[in-house]
Amino acid sequence: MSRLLARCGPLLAVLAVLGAWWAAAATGALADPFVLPAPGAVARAAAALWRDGTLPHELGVTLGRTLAAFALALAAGAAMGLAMGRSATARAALRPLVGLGFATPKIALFPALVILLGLGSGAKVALGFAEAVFPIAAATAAAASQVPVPLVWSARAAGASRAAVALRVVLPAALPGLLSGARIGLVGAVIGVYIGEMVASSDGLGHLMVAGWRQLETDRLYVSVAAVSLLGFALDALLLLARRRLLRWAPEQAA
Amino acid sequence: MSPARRLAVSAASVAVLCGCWEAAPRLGLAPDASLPPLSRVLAGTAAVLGDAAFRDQLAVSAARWAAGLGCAVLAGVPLGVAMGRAPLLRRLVEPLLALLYPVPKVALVVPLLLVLGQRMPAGRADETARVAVIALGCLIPLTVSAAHGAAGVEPRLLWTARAAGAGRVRRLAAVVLPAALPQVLSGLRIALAVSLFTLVGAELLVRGQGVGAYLFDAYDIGEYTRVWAVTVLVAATGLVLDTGYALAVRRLLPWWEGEV
Amino acid sequence: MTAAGPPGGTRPKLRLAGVAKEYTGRRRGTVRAIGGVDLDVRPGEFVSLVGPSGCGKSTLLYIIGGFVAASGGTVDCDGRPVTAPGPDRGIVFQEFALFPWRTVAGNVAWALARRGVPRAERPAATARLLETVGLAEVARLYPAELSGGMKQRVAIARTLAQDPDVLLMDEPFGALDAQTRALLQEELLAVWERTGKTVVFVTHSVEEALYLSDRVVVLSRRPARVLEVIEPGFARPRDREKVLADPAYPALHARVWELLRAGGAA
Repeated sequence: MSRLLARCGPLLAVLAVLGAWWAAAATGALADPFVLPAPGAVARAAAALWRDGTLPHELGVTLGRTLAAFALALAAGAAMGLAMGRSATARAALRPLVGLGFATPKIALFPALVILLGLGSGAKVALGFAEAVFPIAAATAAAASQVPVPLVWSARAAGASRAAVALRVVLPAALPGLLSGARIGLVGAVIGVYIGEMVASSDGLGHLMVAGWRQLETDRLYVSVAAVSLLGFALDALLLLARRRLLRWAPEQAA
Repeated sequence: MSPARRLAVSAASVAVLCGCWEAAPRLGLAPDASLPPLSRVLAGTAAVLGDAAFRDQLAVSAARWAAGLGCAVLAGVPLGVAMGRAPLLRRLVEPLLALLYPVPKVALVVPLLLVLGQRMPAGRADETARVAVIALGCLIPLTVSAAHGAAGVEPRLLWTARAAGAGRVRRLAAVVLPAALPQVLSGLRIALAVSLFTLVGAELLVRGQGVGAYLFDAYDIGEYTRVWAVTVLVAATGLVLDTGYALAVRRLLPWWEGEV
Repeated sequence: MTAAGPPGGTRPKLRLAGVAKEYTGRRRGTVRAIGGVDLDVRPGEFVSLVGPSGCGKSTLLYIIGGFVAASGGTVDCDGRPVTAPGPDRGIVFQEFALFPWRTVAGNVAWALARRGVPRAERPAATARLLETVGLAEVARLYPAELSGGMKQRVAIARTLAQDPDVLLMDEPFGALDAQTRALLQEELLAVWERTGKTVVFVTHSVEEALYLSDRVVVLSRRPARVLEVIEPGFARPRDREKVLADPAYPALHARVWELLRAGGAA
């Protein structure tokens, strides 16, 4: 029973959410269909938006910004994390910045980012980056600081340079930690970009959402929320897949 | 590295950053109008703090934040502990939470206020929607970490308590809750960050009152120094809350060996 | 199967009759961990269970404690069947299992409270118990601030606070260094002689079992059965030097090892 439940859990959850949504919309118990359209109506609207090219375009814009933000965050976060994990000086220098970055709501930066970078993609990518980089840096730093000393020493004894040790020994050993930070960071990047697009933009899924709301085309609003959630899911699933391939050597990385 | 040296390096790193911020606009490396020098921003921060209008907005935001986070704690922690002790409940609820995880919860403020708008006057619907998304955003980290904490209680502690004659309720209160507390608190730390993000996000998206709205008004009328000043204030609030959390945990859990 | 009854005719404190345990694993089907154990333990007796590692001796102890249900056979304590943990059977684990959020005194006082000792009497009773295990000075510290040996003393004091008739000990000294271990063995014997509790002691150290016990129950490899019950018979109160110098000791030691090896081959 419970094993069956464990396997079907995710499917059941999707069905439960769709069922509750459909029941609330169909009976009109919560709100009228204009404000809360049924899942079927949203699916039809999504199909129409897909055919006329709106949805692929907005999705592509959001995806591009998200990937840019995530790639930058991955590079910067991993570099900062490795430095913090392996050098006491780097740790002391970067800790206040990472601490501040972790604790503050990055979204409050957004108006300032728009002032600096304008209304184009720059500010959204920057917000996605800011949401993603700190979890990656913190998780990488924690993992890198726990790399067994004998591993590093034996590599040094074999003649590897400091840089080679960082790249060939510390990075792979810290990879499980880095990747769990990356999972948090990836969802952060999606949400950061999307919220940025909602607050001030002329394209992207976030814009689709706000435009649907302002122009009272509510089904667009729901199409946008569903699309960005699916995007988050799909990217997370891809990352999990990549992680499984990258961590084939690690015995306990199933979760 | 000695603690004194560590502190010196940290201070130097912050000083260099502040120096860059001060110097870049002054040397013309960044446009002065969009990135005012740090000293002017800090003067702006003092002015904003002295502004009675800002203090009113701050009170509104603080009330929203407390209501949202409070609801999430009251609902999420008991739910999480129950999930941790009842595997069937956990199997049912966990996929739902996983499904909700990549959804941008702040964005749900819009559909929520539309739906609520049919039930209540517009002002109250907006307000309820903002508090609700804050609660929703904080619910997942609180519930998941409470569930992990309650599920991970060392079984021998529970056995010891049973052998000493402690009943089910007492085992929950005297063993499960304290053992889960460190995890619950680390969930709370994440929830603190999420709550501020959701608060400011909801206030930027659905303007009304609050710090987010104040920030955006300054942006709209082109008072960029004030934008930076408020941003610095919000960032400082996050840092103060997080530091206060760490200090409180160390006082509250003197027995806890792990990192706070 | 050897029926291991107590010498003499007193009613047993514990009676195990045909106790068996099977696990149903996902991959390997049903695993028989314990294959029918009969054993009587007299009131006030010190009995050790030894056996090859992984033979299920700890599981047997947990069944006596009522933490794990047997899949066959019965355990009686004072003639009443054991179905759940109870305050008449206190347990001490190798991993101490102290409440990390309570101080040393707090851990002991908690067990006193469960026994219904009035609040006003608890501080004095706690102090007495900590005195018994030589920990009066560290009463206000948290478990994390103690060494392994001190932690185990706290765990013993907490179990004594519960005032059980039977002390179940699951390799309690297995995680300690040799010196601390020897010290705690002596202290345990002193406490046992003073309080007259019944002790069931799981260990994989033959020396420890022979030094401490009235009877040593040697179990076979999985599924665990009683291979033989050995009575060291050294004079009480025991002195480690005298036990080791006893002419009977080498033969007893060799016999237990022989059984363990044979049990392994079976």
